[in-house]
Amino acid sequence: MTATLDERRALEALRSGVPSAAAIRTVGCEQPSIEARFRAGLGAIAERSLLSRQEAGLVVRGDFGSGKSHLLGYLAQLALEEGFVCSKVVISKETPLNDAGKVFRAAMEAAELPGVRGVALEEVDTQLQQRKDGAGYAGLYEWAVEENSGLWPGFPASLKIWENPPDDVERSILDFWGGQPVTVAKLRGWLQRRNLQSAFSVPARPKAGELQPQHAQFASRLFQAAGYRGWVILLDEVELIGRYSRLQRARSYSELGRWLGLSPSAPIPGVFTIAAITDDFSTRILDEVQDRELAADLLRERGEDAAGARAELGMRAIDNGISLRMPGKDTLKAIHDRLRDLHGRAYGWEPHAIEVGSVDLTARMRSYVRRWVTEWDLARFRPDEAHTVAAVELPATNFSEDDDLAADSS
Amino acid sequence: MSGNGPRLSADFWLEIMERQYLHSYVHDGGTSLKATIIDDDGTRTHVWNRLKALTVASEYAVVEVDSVSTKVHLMQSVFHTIAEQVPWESLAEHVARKVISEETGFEAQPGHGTLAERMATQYGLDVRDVKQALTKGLRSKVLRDAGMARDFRYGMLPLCRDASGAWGSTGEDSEAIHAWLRGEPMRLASIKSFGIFARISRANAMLMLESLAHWLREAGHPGLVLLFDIRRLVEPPPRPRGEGHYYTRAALLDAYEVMRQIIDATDRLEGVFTTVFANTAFLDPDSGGRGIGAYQALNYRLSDAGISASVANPLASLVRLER
Repeated sequence: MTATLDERRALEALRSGVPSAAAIRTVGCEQPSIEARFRAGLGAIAERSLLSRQEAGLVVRGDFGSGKSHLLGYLAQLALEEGFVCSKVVISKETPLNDAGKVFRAAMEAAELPGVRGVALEEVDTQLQQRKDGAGYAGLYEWAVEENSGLWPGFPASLKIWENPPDDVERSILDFWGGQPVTVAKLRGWLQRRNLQSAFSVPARPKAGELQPQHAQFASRLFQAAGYRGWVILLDEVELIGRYSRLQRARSYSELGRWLGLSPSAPIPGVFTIAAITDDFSTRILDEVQDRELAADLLRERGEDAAGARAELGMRAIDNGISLRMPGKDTLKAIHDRLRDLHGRAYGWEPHAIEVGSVDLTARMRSYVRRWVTEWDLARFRPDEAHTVAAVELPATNFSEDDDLAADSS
Repeated sequence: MSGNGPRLSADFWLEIMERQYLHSYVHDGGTSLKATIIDDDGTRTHVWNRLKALTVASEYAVVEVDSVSTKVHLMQSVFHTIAEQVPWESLAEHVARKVISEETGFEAQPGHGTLAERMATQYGLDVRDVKQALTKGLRSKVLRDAGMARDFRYGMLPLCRDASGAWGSTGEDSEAIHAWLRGEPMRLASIKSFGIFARISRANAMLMLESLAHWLREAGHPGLVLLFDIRRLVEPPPRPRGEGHYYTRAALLDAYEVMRQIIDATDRLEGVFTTVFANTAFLDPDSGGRGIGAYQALNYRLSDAGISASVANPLASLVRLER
């Protein structure tokens, strides 16, 4: 990619407020405490995994336009540079946080491998094929067949079948590892085709609620067996759960607690999760709508005590999230200068300096960036027309309940 | 965000798009989505036709997706509609020709007959030589190209083989792959022999689009231009139903999610220029309405939230156009 293309790509992304790798490289990250915490977490993953524990994740908080998605993009690049698999999952109508299966499948579909483009699971499949005789695969298999791995025996059975699959079965195995269901009858049939039926006894499949966490545990180990240091999962736009029903929010808090590794009884070793949410969520939802008092009990009333406990941990994580540092004037000036250079290099001209002035605490980083880029675009492409560009107050996050966000329209 | 923001002349905007995007940034591999707000039918037709003409002239693959005839809330439906308009045979022929040239040092000249026949006529190459060159070249050039999803790579192999004519095939393989790409009724068994075991679904449709964009550039095109008419989305389903698709609110949100995914794929898509055609109703900021306000994630990406400009920026993600 040419330097100019990279720069124009960065500007294009900044115009939409979408964090792109090029934009992130240019703007950088002005959140030293979050970056330090993240790096420490990456460093601790291997040790935690050896003890079958999960490094506790963190929640980052910031208003709309404060740079949360940009920060997640920056952390993603760091993770990839450090040899981790990385998944950026945007909580959305298609990927509701309360549905463990959908979040897992979305994370698998979004998984990015360092230096490799393509479907992560397919590439890992190819890489593992070359390492079948290595220590990594052996370790994965040994763990999977152990009784205290907690895995449904369908997982080690699928590994054994994968080593030498009958025609057309390999894809089905990958689909299963990616979170798609597989029937016991199919697994038993494949074992039989390879005369392995006596080596593996596959009992009935557990319920989805029990099986989904095992999928994440297995996938994490699979990535490590293929030579990656671990799996970083970045959950963006978590505030969308504010528009769910209270029960859906309760389940979302429980799932958040699980992904963040806050429940010692349900760890996902090798996984490190960062979740981004708006700053006003605690006030508007946990306080005003009283989720803090009522959400966990909704789950307990249904006999889901463990989920209720995790929901409390999830809500506490939101309360204790690290808030994005508002940029000071020096930081704004530094970013302005970097962007000015970027615009200049992208279009081969010299943009004027824009006075940063006093920092407006109600304006967000996104507003500053878009204002500057708009000013330079207008100066470059409409130089003969007088214009003004100003930052305006952004709309508040919408937390009104919306049943259609949970509805499946397919 | 309102329909009363500053407007741009459609021709001025087209000129900027041509110069700054289609002949430069997108041509070089960049990607962009621009939403146009046009209320006048004549202006919309003018912009649509102008974009189509200048992108065809620049050898882009131009495809049209309309929310009336395509279920745009399903990413796989969007891909299938695109796939119906892509000239798969000529793309495969181009890649096969390139591979043979790289492997043999001979460039097939235009003429009658299949690629293999022309290589025999023009350079005296035996069909076995062509087959050997292709087998080796396609493995390294296509099968190992990590810029495309695995299923897509597996699908392009039989297309390239058929395009070469070296295997003397009846075209059945290509037909099966075309049906798979277009989402036509087909038996999965017809493509299993190629290593493809699943239809294109919501889960992998975006990857297929990324792969297609990459493939187009491998086949000598600068990229893909997608003309995307979403005006039907803002119309609530009438009673009785009119023609074409109407979208429930849930489907509307899904459609906006599809658009968000395309915008967020800026880094991963190569050479894709998407122009979305909408009208002022799309700018409705009401979160309970059917406009952009209904889906916060899309609103934040397209709208001018956070800034107020007295003059329209022609490079903005969303522009209001007039004649």
